Amino acid sequence: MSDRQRRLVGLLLLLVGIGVASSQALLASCSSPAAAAASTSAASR
Amino acid sequence: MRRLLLLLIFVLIVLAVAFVLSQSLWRWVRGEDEAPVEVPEEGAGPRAWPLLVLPLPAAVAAVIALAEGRLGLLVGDVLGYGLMLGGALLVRRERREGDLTIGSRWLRRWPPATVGGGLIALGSGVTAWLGAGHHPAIGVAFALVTLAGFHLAYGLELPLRHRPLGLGGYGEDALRRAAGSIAAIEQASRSIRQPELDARLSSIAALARQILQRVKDDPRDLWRARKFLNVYLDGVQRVVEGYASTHGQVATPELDQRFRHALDTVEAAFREQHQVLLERDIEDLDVQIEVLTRQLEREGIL
Repeated sequence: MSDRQRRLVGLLLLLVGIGVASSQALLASCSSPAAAAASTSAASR
Repeated sequence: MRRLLLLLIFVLIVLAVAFVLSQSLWRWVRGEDEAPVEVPEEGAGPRAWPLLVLPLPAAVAAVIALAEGRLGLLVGDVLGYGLMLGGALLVRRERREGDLTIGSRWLRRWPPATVGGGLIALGSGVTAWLGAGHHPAIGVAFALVTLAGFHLAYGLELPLRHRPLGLGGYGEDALRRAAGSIAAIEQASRSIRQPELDARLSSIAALARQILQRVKDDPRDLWRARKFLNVYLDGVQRVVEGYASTHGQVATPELDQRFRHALDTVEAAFREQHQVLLERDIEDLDVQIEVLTRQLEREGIL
């Protein structure tokens, strides 16, 4: 794997790891408390 | 309706930022420099701005959670964003100022970029767990994905204590390439035929040789001078060779001025690198003196 490819894959993984987690946190903040509670309890089950 | 509007504004901001940054990102991935004569502020290679931009939705989430009075989400978002921001700033600071010395002696063994990568991974895991409401195991998965991405894009390094003592194949190869770069700089400086520039380039080459000699004498310095060996020297070689090839054909005072300014920056960076290696030697000596003093105190000699 060349240096460029390695960087690109790394950046994509960072996009998934940081970007998705942050965006989902934003969606959770924007959603109604009842829906957020339901999704949290569903996830914990 | 209000939420739809918020989401629309957010999507528009993200699209605008993505459009502006994508071109810069493409240049970064292709390894192209924006200013070929100036030595870039953060050196060549991966830059730290994606680490500052990617967590921004978590900051917005924290503001919304605060406005809506949702404590659980607020704690998760603030904690996650704080960790990611702290890690990104640490990485950016190391990229700007070289190998830093931070915190206690224990912490100094760890390269700041590695500490930063760990904090960012932890932050993404916390954000996914407490901020987005995922299961803790999914939070761990997010952290691992982030850590893997950081390793590929920026590189994670071992702490000083666990680093190899010999130069090794990588070290010998790096030193050989560095010596080649210095020889190429000297060769190019001869073709410029300006006594003032020739003297300055000779001084820069001499400084570079001193740094190389220190690395040869103490292989632990290889890790401390890795950026100098892998990035700076290569960049200086390209700039000097580029100037030497264009200088004879076109006389542009502006280019001359920028080249002189670049040489100032390079000389300052090389002196700083040399100083860092000297200071580390003093620090190592300080540790040895402290150990010896404690040993003598234990044995009742002091």
